Amino acid sequence: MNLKANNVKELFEDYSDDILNYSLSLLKNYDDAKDAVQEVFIRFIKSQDSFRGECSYKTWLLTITRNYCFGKMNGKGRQPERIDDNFIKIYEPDIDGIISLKDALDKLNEEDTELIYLREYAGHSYREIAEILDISVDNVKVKLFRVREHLRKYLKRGKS
Amino acid sequence: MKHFDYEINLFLDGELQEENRKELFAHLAECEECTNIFLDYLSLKEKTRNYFAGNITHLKNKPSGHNRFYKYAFYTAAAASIIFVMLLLNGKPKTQYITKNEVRVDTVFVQKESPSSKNKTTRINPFTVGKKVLPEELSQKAYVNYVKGLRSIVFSKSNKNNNEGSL
Repeated sequence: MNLKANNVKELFEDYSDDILNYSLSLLKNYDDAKDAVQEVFIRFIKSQDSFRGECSYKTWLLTITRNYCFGKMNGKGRQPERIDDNFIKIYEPDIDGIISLKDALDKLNEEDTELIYLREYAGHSYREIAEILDISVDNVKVKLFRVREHLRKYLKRGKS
Repeated sequence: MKHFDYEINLFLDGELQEENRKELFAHLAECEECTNIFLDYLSLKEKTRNYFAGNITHLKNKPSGHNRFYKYAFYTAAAASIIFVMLLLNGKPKTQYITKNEVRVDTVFVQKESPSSKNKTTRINPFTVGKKVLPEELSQKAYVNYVKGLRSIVFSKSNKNNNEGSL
């Protein structure tokens, strides 16, 4: 074993929340997301021999998370509920703004939503996003720019 | 005039090189349109971050599928217990204890004649347990027959009354 149990424990303490939130943003179900965290660490421990140290542990864990979540989603078909409607009623006072943002995000494809999530919520750098999504850094720059431009125009149109 | 929206995007993510940053600031000082775009991106970033944060908090607090399972399990258990109680009521009757002198014929209890009381000449005691059979020497006496006759008349009358009442 390359990794000691302590190392795995530390990784779990540091990154389990990130993995939980990322899988929650993909799976839209808390129970499935909690299962995902466990499954990701099991896969991580099993496949640690193939880790060549080209990226950080965090990026690698999130890549495993992504693969697991997509595998799970393909298994039962794509989830119809991308973002829950109820949360608008509970959490957000600025309903108009959030509804148009929700509409705008609903119209994005899965990869663009993921890109926005990884950048805005999880706060990953372009290089990390590129590693997780398995695309080039330039590609990340362009895609993120396009998505933001799209969202900005959509919100502008809603206001006018 | 060239617009800098792509560079604004990079700058807000902290990915713009130092020399390009100066160029951007110089441009922003002159171009109102780019300043507006800058502010739009800034608010969009904040909004999306809040949106994801709220959505994730909501998903975490949402009642889970397991809870739903327990809800259905409760109803199933309730239905099962009702069926169980009904089966108990329809099934075997409660165990009844019978005395030595009784024989059970389905659910009707018939008293056994005790062999000792047949040959014995005992006083007629209304509290004696078992079927009341008069000793032979007593039943042959005239007044006993008379009393028996009286009792049977009263009995048949009361039977009649009962039948009428029930009809």
